[in-house]
Amino acid sequence: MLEGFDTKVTSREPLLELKLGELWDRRDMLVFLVLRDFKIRFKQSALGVAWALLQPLATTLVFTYFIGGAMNIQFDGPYPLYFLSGLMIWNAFAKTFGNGTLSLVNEAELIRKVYFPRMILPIYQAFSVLTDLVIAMVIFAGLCLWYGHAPGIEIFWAIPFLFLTMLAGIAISLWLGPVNVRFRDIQIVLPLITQLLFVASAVMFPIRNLGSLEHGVGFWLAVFNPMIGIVEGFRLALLGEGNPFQTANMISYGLVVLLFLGGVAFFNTSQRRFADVI
Amino acid sequence: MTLALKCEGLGKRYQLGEKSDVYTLTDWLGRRLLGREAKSVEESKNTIWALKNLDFELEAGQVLGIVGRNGSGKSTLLKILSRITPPSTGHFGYKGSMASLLEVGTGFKQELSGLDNIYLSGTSLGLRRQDIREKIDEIIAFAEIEEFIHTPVKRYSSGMYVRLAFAVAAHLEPDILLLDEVLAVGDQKFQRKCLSKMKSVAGEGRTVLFVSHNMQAVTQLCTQALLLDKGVCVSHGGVEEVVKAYHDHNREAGEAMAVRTFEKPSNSNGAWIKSIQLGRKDNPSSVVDIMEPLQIEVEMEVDDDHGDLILNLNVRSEEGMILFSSRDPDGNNATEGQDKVFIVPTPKGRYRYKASLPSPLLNTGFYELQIALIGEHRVVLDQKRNIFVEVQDLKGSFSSCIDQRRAHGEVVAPINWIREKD
Repeated sequence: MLEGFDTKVTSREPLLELKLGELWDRRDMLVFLVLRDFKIRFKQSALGVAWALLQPLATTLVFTYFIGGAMNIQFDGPYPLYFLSGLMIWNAFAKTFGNGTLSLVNEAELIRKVYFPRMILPIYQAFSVLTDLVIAMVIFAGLCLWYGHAPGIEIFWAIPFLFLTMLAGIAISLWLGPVNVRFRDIQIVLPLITQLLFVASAVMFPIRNLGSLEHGVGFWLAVFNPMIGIVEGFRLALLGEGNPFQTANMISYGLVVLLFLGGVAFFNTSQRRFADVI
Repeated sequence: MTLALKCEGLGKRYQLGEKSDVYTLTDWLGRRLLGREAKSVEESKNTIWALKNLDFELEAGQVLGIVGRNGSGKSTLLKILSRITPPSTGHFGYKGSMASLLEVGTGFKQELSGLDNIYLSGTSLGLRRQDIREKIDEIIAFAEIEEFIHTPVKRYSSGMYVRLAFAVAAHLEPDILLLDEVLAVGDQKFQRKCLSKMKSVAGEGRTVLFVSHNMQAVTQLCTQALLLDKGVCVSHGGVEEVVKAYHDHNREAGEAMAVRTFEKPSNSNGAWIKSIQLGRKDNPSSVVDIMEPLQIEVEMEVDDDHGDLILNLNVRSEEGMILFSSRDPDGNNATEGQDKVFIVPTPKGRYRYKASLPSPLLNTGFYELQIALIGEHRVVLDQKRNIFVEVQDLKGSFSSCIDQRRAHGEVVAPINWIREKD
């Protein structure tokens, strides 16, 4: 039919298209979208990047004095270190899936006017979020100096757990983003979902407070919420204590990978019609 | 010669309602619950074929002009070929890289500087960072914005903005380039610059598909052309032949559009417009030569007596600007009311308005007429929009410069210049 042509497009919907080569070809677009968001964020603000430092610092202080004191936290070190280590990775996750889900609708103009692999939009959000993480790390380093805490060799666990966070965030937006293109209901309930997940991810308190992960409610919570394991993993990396490798955690990491692969397939089959529906 | 692009049976169906509206989950569930029968009836009613069964192929290095009236499917075709939207039927294939330019300023962000936007827009359109870095000086020079390159584009004049946007696009170097009417931007000087840039792009052996209303540009740039009407290919071949078909087609469509009759509106206010006819009685046409007066005839039914009833005509440019308006009592003998406003008492009956727009007045191009009946207290009793007329310069009365589609401006003035040597 169309022998000898490099690119073929038919009316039939393809079941599975990965198009990873095309995604890699357009990586420069991803880079400039990340830069764009970073530059726009602090345009025409007098304090500029200082705001990015202030936000996690303020949250940490508020939680330390108003909530941390009221809870029975069984942790030897200072609560601000404990809270911030969980908060920074939680923020990376929440912003990745939140902004990723909204990114398609936010860039509707671009989607209507130019072709590019649409998956760039949810993926670039994960990289955008890294700038916040780096800033939170700076604050964390400052707090470490203040409290005289030194992270050990476990710090290298931060890398795989960060990767897992990005994967989980992207995976969710690959599912919710296309649905939001058609049903804006998603963006209405998104803040609520985020809040519930925050509470269920044991950022403010140790997972022990949710119950044992060996069985019962704690087990199932940890299976279906990978952030329980990931937050714990980040604490292991930065504070040197925690066990993010329990059975329930390992199952949930496996689910993240499955959710991601399924998300890629789902996204690819729906992306063709974005421009018509958005 | 090698084929660069081939389409077979390409079609695009839009479902009305679904296309424009974003509906919520409850709407969707509601529709599902209505059952399949309701759905199939709805489908047949609310389906529009924007493009139907299109076959064509294009050899490498050819420049294809795609022409047709508004809504003929030109832009839909470009959107399908650029893979923004999938075809509903058929398939196509192409060789090499493709880039499309469907609007000026794709991916621009107001807050960012000109330089940032060059990279942002360039990478969005498919350029690599490396390519942009190599051409950056050329792009800035082409846009003529050297001293403002670090200024946020929200502070740019509209001319500067458009120049920068086109400059980025002009430096895309794909094997196949899709362009939608980008020449209609900027001032005349910049348009000429764009046109010559396009010529050189075409001269480099690239394949170009170019959607335009501008027959002059199509004739100059394209090696072949394709005429679409209501989503169907009407003519395909040499440029001259297709441009002629375009004009013939417009004239026919113009005649069809020249006589319009209307039903009595269900919420009638006692007076309504029954028909509108353009052109001479023996030769109705919505296409008029620039030197000929455009004749308008409006038939009005008045079911109840009205204390005051006037007819108002607005003439709007294609961009939607009201060029002038005219109303029935102007220049007529009407009763002068107490508050020095013309009052036109109108007993019931059938009325016929006849008017003739002076010529030459409107420049070549499309214009929209809006006709309204206005009653007491300036209440609009009935109105008809989207009555289009096309003014053509068939005898070349005003095209002194071959490079220009039309004289400057929306209106023309016949001025005899006298040159004397001292």
